[in-house]
Amino acid sequence: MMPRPVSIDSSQPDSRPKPHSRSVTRQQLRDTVWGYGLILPSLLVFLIFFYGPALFLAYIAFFHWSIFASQSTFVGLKNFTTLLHQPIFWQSLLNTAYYVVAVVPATTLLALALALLLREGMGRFGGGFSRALIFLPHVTPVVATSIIWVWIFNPQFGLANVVLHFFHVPPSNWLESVHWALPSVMIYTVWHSVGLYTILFLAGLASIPRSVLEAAATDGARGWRVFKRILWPLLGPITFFVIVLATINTMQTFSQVYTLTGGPHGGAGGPAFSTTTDSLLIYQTAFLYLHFSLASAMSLILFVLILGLTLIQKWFADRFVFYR
Amino acid sequence: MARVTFRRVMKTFGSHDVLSPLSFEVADGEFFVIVGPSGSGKSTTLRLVAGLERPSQGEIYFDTERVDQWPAHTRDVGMVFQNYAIYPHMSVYSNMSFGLEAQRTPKHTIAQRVQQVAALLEIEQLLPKRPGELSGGQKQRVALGRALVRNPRVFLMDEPLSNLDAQLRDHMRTEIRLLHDRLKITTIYVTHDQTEAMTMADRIMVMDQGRIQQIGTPAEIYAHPSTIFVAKFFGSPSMNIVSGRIAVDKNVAWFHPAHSPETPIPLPTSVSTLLPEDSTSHTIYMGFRPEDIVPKPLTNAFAFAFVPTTIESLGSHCQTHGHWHHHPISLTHRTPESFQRHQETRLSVPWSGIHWFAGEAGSRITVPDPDDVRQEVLTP
Amino acid sequence: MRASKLWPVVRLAVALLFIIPVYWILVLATGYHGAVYHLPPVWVPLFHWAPMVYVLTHTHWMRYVLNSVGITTATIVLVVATSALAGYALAEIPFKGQTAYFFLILGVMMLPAQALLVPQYVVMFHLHLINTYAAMVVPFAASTSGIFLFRQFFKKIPVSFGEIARIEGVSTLTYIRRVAVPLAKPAVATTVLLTFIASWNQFQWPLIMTNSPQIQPIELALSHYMQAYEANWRELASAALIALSPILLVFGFTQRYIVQAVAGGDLNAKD
Repeated sequence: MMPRPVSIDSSQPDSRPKPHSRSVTRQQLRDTVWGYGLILPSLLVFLIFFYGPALFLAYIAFFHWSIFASQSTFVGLKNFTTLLHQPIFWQSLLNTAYYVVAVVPATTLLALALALLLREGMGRFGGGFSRALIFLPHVTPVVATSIIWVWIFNPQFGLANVVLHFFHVPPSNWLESVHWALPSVMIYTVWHSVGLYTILFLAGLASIPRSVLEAAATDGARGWRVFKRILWPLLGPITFFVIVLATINTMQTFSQVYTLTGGPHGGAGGPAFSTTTDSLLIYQTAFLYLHFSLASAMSLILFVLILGLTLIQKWFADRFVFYR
Repeated sequence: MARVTFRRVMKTFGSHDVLSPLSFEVADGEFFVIVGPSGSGKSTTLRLVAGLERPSQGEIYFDTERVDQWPAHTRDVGMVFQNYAIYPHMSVYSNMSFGLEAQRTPKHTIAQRVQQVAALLEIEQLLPKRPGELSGGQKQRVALGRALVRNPRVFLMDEPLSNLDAQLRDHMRTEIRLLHDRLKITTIYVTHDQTEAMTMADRIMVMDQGRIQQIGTPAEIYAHPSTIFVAKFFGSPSMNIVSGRIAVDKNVAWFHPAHSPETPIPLPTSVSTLLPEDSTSHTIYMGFRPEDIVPKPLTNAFAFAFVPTTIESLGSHCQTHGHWHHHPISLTHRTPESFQRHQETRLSVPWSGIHWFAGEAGSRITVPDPDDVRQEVLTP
Repeated sequence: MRASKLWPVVRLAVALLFIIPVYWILVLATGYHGAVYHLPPVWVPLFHWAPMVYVLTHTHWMRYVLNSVGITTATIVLVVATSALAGYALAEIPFKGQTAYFFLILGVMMLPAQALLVPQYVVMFHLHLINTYAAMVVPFAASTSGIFLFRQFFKKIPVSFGEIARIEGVSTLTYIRRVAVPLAKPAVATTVLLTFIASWNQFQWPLIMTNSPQIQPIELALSHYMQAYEANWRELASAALIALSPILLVFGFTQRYIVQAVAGGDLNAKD
């Protein structure tokens, strides 16, 4: 075969190498246009309906402001001081604290117990079916299932008092009682949300290598000892994650408080405001009494609290990988 | 079909030069193989032709059209990827027609083209199937078919055979080459496999570290490797390389091998006159292919003492590995009984079978015989 | 050995406790009229569908159901579209601002929903979206976890798939629609399921953003109905069952995926 001599025809114009800086930018420009074009729909949603309102919140909290008036005046911290002088604000904080302090540990412990139960001796029934049943309440619409719980908590013919009667405990007025209204909501919340945290614990348990457990079993460790020595230390991170997530969620509970105690059951927020939590109070202040500035000040406090918790949780989640 | 020309094409990623200025030309209808180890820039070169990358500097021509800034789809190239890039959720037919549909080709034209190409590749019965049902070789054909359907000016293949098992690879090698002989589409084929390069190419371009090492026909490249890199890349076992120095003593040039400087080898004048004048001042490499070694002492040849350590019989011939004063040497020869393990023998290489290299790049320093084919190395 | 045979039974018994309330909705909705007041409670559903048929045909419930169906469908379609587009940009297109957008999405995930309702209402008010279907859909037309999920799946698609499309002149949008999204089916399924549940269960948002019976979804209607006709237990339970059954049906068929999506989605959506 004849060799083909390579000819580089230098008589051709423009044969000197020239950097194509302009055209490299053209490719980058294309990518930029497409990149922004494709994120635009979601970006607009996030900016208009999330970041915009978040910034706006900080603004209206420091102004005397009404949705119908065109003018707003800067009032500094006045909205906050007004809040501090309102007993209902303190009551709502107390209610929220009570609610969170009761629900979070109860949910976490129950979820952990359920996760261990579901995990124990996977049988023919399949952990999957039981797991699905326990998780189911979490995906049910709150209003629809609240209806049945209102009936369960009915003092005259509800199931709750039937159960109490069975254990020879005096009946309660549940949602209509100052002392029991909020605990009733707590019971509903635990029922509705424990499945979620159970799943998270199960995910955490699944990430524990089988070999660790088998090694423990061959060492003769079983039951409580396995839990205390092996599972619990390894579950530490996920437990923290669950506690923070549950705290963030319970601090924002609204729907079941509104539905279970908002109607004719002793007025909005339970009898004697016993179930008026922070989110319920914000709702009432803004949308029933139209005190937007005051509601914004409350929202801002809640915002800062929850964002702080979220940041702790994110920081933590990034440091520990629980689940692959 | 087109001639492809690279003019001083450079590619940099950040501050890193992936390609030093490359200039070469692929003739119309040629089967051009780019070969080199990973990281040599061969795939980048192919991607520059395809339009998947833009050069940082320089120009690329298809015939007389400058295409280096054209978007990929305007260049009319067909490409076969190493993993075939066949969409697993589409039938073979849809895979082949997808590109044409995107360019709004009329439906009956598409059907006609797909049928035609499927017939050519004998994959008609595969058209309704899903890629998951196909064997490796069938997928390979579908990938070829998808590229051919577009009637490409240039056919590009990026390691298309490396996902196949050895037997199928040999078979597809022949098949691709026969296909090329029928269609005569300009083909640029990238591989790291020297056998593919040697058996398939009209011409080979050897690359290393972003530079062209040599361009030539398989025969040229084997007979006259222009660098140590090229010399060692082709041939199995690869070429024996011995480094050393030239010293002139009593009007005779002596080669002092680095591994045993105390046993210099006198060079005949036919050899020493070919070496450039400054050869005494730096390291010189002598190279000889395993098959050029003769397992007996010859007169007027380069001879050395050899201790064989392993003798492998491959049926048709033997490969023997051993050492010359602790410097590893391999040779191939016919008869297994030529050697006894660990027993020193003398080997010779005719002076014509020895290649000389020098310099940091290990460039060939022998001035070729006038009747040898002229070499042109384009590395700047 | 005996204990290991007992565990599944214990497990199932505990699990059944959790769905008693859901089961009871069925009992009350399809039971005889006075079943609610019966002591001890009635345990067996009678499958009298008449009350449910009545609720669907003689009241506005059909309207509310259709509202919910429309809102949920529109939200799902939009979420899948916006998530696929943004996920593709984050996974495949190198552009300045990509990392910024990644963190912007993480930021959205961290914003507390309750604290934003007041300013969100103001924004909706000024956009004249109060009492519109758009108010129920548009703010939820983008999903942070959806974007991350699609991004994660698109990253798994071999680079050469996109490159061959570029060579063949397939446009980016066609490639996304015909190649990338079909290859990310699990991401589509997960996004559809999670969006369906979230959207169908919406309550507080419509409560604040609409007071029009024309627009309100079933959950909101249910809440109003509950406050107005508390004593009408059978109709109430029937309406609740109507609101509940799409969720129960979908969950029944896809619980495995939903549980996985929730476990994975909350823990490592952004990888």
